[in-house]
Parts: sequence; C-alpha cells; structure tokens
Amino acid sequence: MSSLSTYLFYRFLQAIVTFFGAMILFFFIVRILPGDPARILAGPEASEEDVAKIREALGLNKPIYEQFFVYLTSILRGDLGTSIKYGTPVVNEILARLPYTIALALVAEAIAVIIAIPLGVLAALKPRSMLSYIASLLSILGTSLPVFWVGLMLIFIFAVELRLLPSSGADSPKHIILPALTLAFFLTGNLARMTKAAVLEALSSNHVVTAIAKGLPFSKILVRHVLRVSLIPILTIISLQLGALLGGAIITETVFAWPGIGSLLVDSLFYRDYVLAQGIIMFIVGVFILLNLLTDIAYALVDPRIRDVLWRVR
Amino acid sequence: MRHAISRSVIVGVVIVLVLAILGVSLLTGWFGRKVETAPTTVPATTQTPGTTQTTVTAESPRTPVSTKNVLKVAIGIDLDTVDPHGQTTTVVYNVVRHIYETLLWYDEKGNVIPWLAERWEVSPDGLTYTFYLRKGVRFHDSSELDAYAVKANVDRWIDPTVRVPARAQLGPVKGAEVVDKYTVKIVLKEPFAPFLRALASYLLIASPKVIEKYGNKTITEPVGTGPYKFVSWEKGKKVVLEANEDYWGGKPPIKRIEWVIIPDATTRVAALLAGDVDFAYNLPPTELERIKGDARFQVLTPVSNRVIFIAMLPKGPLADPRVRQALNYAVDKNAIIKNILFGLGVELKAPVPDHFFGFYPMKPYPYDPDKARKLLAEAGYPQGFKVVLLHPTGRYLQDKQVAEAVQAYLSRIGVQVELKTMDWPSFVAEITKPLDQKTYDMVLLGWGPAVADAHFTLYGQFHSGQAPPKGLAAAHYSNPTVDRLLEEAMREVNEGKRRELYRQAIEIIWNDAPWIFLYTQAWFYAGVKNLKGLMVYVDGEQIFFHKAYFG
Repeated sequence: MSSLSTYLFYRFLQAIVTFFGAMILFFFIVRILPGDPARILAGPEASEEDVAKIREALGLNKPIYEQFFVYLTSILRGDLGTSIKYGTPVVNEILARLPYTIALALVAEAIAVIIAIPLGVLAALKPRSMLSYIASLLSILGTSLPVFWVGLMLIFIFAVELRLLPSSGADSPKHIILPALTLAFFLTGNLARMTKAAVLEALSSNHVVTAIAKGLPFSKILVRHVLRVSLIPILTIISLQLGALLGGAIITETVFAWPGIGSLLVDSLFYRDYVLAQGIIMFIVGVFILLNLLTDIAYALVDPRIRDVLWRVR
Repeated sequence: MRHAISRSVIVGVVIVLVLAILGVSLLTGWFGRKVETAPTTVPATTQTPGTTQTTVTAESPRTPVSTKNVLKVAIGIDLDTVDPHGQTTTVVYNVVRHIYETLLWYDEKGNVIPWLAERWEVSPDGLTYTFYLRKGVRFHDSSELDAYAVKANVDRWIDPTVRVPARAQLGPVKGAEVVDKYTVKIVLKEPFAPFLRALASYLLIASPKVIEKYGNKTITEPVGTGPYKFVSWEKGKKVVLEANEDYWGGKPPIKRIEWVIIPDATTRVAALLAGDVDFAYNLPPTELERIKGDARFQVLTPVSNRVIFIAMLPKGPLADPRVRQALNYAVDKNAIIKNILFGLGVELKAPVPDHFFGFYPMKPYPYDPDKARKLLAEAGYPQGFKVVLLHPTGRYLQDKQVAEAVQAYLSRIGVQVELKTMDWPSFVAEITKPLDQKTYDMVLLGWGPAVADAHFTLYGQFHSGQAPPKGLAAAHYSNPTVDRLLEEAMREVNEGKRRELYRQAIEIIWNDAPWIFLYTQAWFYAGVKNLKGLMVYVDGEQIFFHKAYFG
C-alpha cells in the first residue's frame, strides 16, 4: 500500500499548488476587466465624491499589489472576504446558494446516469438497433441545441400550456424537475455516447475475445470483463460533468431563476464584485481539483495498473 | 477475480446510490427547512396579538395561504441591500419603500404632498426646512415616529463613514435639529431648490432603534413605518413582506407580498402566463402585443424618468453645432419608437421628460434628411465623415437595436457610424474617462434621476463642472451661460423664477444640440386582470401595492 499512499501524497501536493496558482491568476484576471465596482454600486447618477468614498471604504483605492497582499493574508486565515455588493461575508453568500446548486447537480446527474448508462451499453451491444439510434440522436441534440432554448421550451410546454409544473423558482421539490431535466438532457447524450464507445472498445479487446473463445457465459463476460474496463472513461465523464455542474449551471440557473452558485457568479461579475466573484471562482476551482483528485483515487482503486505506472514513473 | 468483480460493481453501485441519496436527502432536507428570517428587533412580548399569529406562515412555506391574500410579483434583479440609506437601484427602492416611508410623498401629478410630515415651512433664505410630524405613527418595532427618529436618520445620512451612494442627490444637508417632540428642522449649507422633492424621493426613515444598533454598519433588519413589514429575504430567490395591520394609513388589503426574483425576462413572461406570479416587472417589448391580446392580463406602460439620447463629444466635425443639428434631423425618432420600441417611448421635446418640474416644450427636430445634408454641406462636410458610436447592450430597452437604427439613418446622409458595443460595467468605465482618453465620438446613454426635477437631469448632464471624470455629463458640454442658469436655478426658491431659468437653459441646449434627442423610455409591466388598486409612482418605474386587492 506504500505506493498508493506516496501517490496520494504527491497528488495532494499537486492539488494545493494548482489551487494557489489558480487563485493568483484569477485575482488579476477579474481585476483586469474594465469597470469600477464603486461606480457600478453607486449608479451613474451618483456624484464622484460619493463614489470615491465607496472606493475608499472598499479598499479599492489601494495599489493592486497591496490589495493582493491583503487578499492573500485573509485567504490564509480562511477568510474569503466581504462581498462588495451585499456587504456580507462571501462564505455566507456561497453557502446560502450551494445547497441549490448541489441539489440540482445531483438530481440532474442521477437522471443522466440512470438513462445514459443502460442506453449506452445496449446501444453498444446492438449497434444497429433502435436504441442505438436514439442514443446517437440524443447525443447530437445534446451537443447542438442551446440550453436556454430547451429550458424555455420545457417551461412553455409543462408550465404555461399543461400547467403541470412551476415555471421557475425553488420553492418545492417540484421546482427542481424542469431545470434538472434540462441539464440531464445535455448530460445524457454525452454520457450515453461515451458509454457506448467505451463498451464497444472493451468488446473488441483481446481479453474479451479470449473470454468469448473460452466459452464463458455472456453475462459474466459483460460484468467481469467489459463493464469493469469501460467504467474508467465513464467515471471520468461523470466526475467532469459533476465538476461543471457544481460550478453552477449558469444558463439553466438563470432561465429557471434557480438561486444557485451560477446565477450568483453572473450577478457578481455584473456588479464587478471582485471579492464575491473571486470567492465563487476559487470555490469552483476547488471543487474541480477535489473531484479530479477523487477520480484519480478512484482510478487507482479500480485499476491497479494506474497506480503501478505512477509509482514506477516516480 | 471474485474480489475484483465485487469492487467494480461496488464502485458503480456506489456512484448511483450516492447521487440519488444525496440528491433526494438534500432536496427534502433543503426544501423542508425553515425559511431563514432576519432576526427581528421586536421582542415577542411587545408585539400586538394580531401580528404574532401571522409570522407563523413565514416559517412553513408548505402551508398553503389563501391565494386571495398573497400577491406574487416577479422582478428582474435581486436586492443588493435593505439598508434605507444604501439604496441605489429603482426596483430595490420600490421593494423597500413598502417597508420604509419618507416625510413627503407625491400625488399622481407629481406634486409633493404631506406624508410622515403633515406640513412644512421653508425659511425665506431657503436654508431651513421645518417639518411638523404626523402624530401616533409607529415603526414596526413599535417605537414612535418623532423628531428624534427623524434626526437619527438625517444624522446617519450625512455621516461620512456610512455608505450612502445618493448622499449628494439629497442636497447640501448640514444637519437636523429637534424643535419639540413632533417638530424637526433640517438645515442646509446653501439653498437647494429641489430639496423637498429630493427628500420625498431619497430619505427613507428607519426605526431609531435599528439605527442605534447598526450605527454606520449596513442595516440588515429593515424596520420602518410602512404598510408592509419585512419577513424574509432569500438571496437570489425572493423577498417576503407581510401587511402591517396597524398601518397609520389603513390596513393594506393584501396580507402578504412575495417579490420573486426571476432574472430572465422571457421566464418572467412565462411565469405570468403560467399563473405562477400575479404581476411582472419590466417585460420584453416584443411580448407587448401578445399579452395585450390576452384577456387574462392587464398591461401597464408608464413613462419613466429616463431620457435616452446620443451624446456627441465636442471634437472633430461634431464640435460644429450645425453638424449636431444635422444629425438630429437625420434620425426619425418616431419611427424608432414605433418599430423598435413597440411604442414604449415618447419623443423628447426637451432634454428632460415631459412630467418633470422645469420642463419646457421645444419643437422636436423633424425627420428631414435633405435639411440634414444641407447643414452638413454648410459646415464643410458634404461627403459626410466617420464616427464611432459607443452603446451598452441589455441596459435600456432595445438599446443595441436603437443604435443600429441610428447607424442606418446616419449612413443615409453620408455619416458612417462604427458601432462599439460593451457590457454595462465596461461601458461605464469607458464613459467616465476624461475627454482626451475617449475612444468614441458619440455615446448612447440613458439618464434617469430618481427625482422628477429638471435640476437632476440638466445639472448632471450639461453643467461643465460635471464633465467626466468628475461627473457623468456625457457630452462634455461647456457653456458659461448654461452653467450660470443652472446654478441660479438650483438656488432659486421661487418656483416661477426657477421655471423661467430652466426655460432659458433648455432653449440654449436644444438649439446647441449636444445630444441627438431621442425619447423618454416607457416600461412594460403586466399583471392579472383582477388585481386592482395599483399605484404608479411619479417616476413611472415603481408600482405600489398599499391599496392593491384582488377584485
């Protein structure tokens, strides 16, 4: 097990370095955007004196390296700062929105997994069947239709015309159905296509051919030799999809007025709320890095070859 | 091998299970949770018996409340603050104005009328305003509205350590003095003629207890004297208010208002059509005909305080007034209003909206491309010239489409327009640069002061002291006569004389044409037909539900 723990140690170190690298990068990128948060906050009709006072109160009149130093020290103390727009701690703002984003991400991904994986496997086993065509169609539509259009269509069909579901908002579990379906629509196509490809590849690999030649029952081959190998790319896609979803499904959240991280990020950038935007971005980066880490660990658990290779390289 | 199989199966099963269980538990856990309410300063014992019962509904969103008593209103942006003195945005003002009130208010014609103050006196030098307060008015925390409460609010407004974005708009306030329990004086440093209107628009009065508790920190517990009391604000989601049963102006008919935040305008339309909300703010003009034609809804298209114009910088060919007039003749404003705004605008007859104090109607420049070409030739540009037009996108109704239409009109008289589009924060950064750093020649801008008084538009846009980077006078207009007229008008307490000063300033500005004068923007709001008793505020942007009811 020592190889695995050493691997994990290095992998962890790498994650921390990535996190801080991203932090520095985004600190400056967000501030390079033209626009003065104090002016946006006060409105165009406000006087310059009042704008200057706000700027001062926010510490925006200090040189940028000094602002960076203040930011860095507060981050190291575990403080993400105070939102320029709301005047409240950034952590509170993120935590208030997070449950919505997580709930939406998990429900959407669960719907996608439940539909896409059986669909992908069946499509691979019977490449010329109806199911296979449905899988292809879904993945084409999923990559080509704009999210807001699908969202609005669902709203107009299920909320306006049929009156079965609420159009927007997040007041009850019913409210999650339409945004989750919208997201799942895009996730399913991609996931089904990847599953199909992975299963097809596994089916044509030597060990499966050998297993078939040995005369093993097909169900055993499928579970033991095909699914296990195809799990790796599927896991990768799921973790990438979840990472993207936890960063907030910006368009879906906006269309459905779903109060998650994504709509908060858009809002914060619109107000040039550097502190809040940076906080959200760092949160998203953190989630991505963490999920990548977990995926790598999962790889190592599922596939001994990976950790052996990594061990030898090191 | 057996070991390997179980591991792979376990990983797969675990993923699906974790997703499903987490999702479901989060959903039930999250949605079933108590709605967070701001801590109230009211100790339960001091509450009147009637109000203690109603707060229960706020804590259990699943309990159905009779829909007749609940009004759901869709707005496009989230609140930024509920601090009475930290307000910047009209919609947010609109929400919190149901909680807080002002000393004065407006009637339908835009005249200032008594509100929390029953009457007032102005000293002959225009420096001291004495207000006699209405007696027996109580804040939602049951403290009384008196002269000390008003003084606490004025003191906080002028405290430089408090974030008050509109501080300068209220005027040069020196301080407040308590005369007796119900009489308060507000003293100015110098005469400021629009003061009463500014007071009616800006100075929201909060409970003195809350002011004492928060000091110069942002107030997060809105406690006022208004017809509605604050219940909760779930950021990005909704703000809930409930009727103030003891309101001095009479108990409001609707028990509960939910301001639902729906950022996407098309979704707001859908929410209205689906019956999820009863009233929706700021809808896309493209939906106007469809909703007008639907018998279930009523449509409101109030004219706002916001003039939309194209400011021309005094450089290159645009430094010549004949060229600027030519551009005014070249653009068919009424065609733009009809075809691009779907009627949601009124052609400008002055640089201020028609309903402003100080408005004086001029003759609009008619659409006359021949005259425009003649003027250009006279000025020495028979072949036209090239200009860059900066415009924001998504800020004003159809702003990008209007800029494109102007581009097309100007090309007919030989003026080639290059459009430069920016998102709002970048746009504001660009227009606040000094003249020599600007990378454009003309800019499409809207100017909507909260107070319907010519001072706020004319001084802000045409006084040379307001040129960027100091202010936001977009045309960098500089005319000593206009400067003098605007300064005098600002100090002139006599309304008749003030009107005359504005008339003179408007005539000069109109003929000098530093803008392409376009239109005053109207808004498009819609609600269910049986919602009655709506009040449109003097600025045409705010709707009040004090007296609203379902008929």
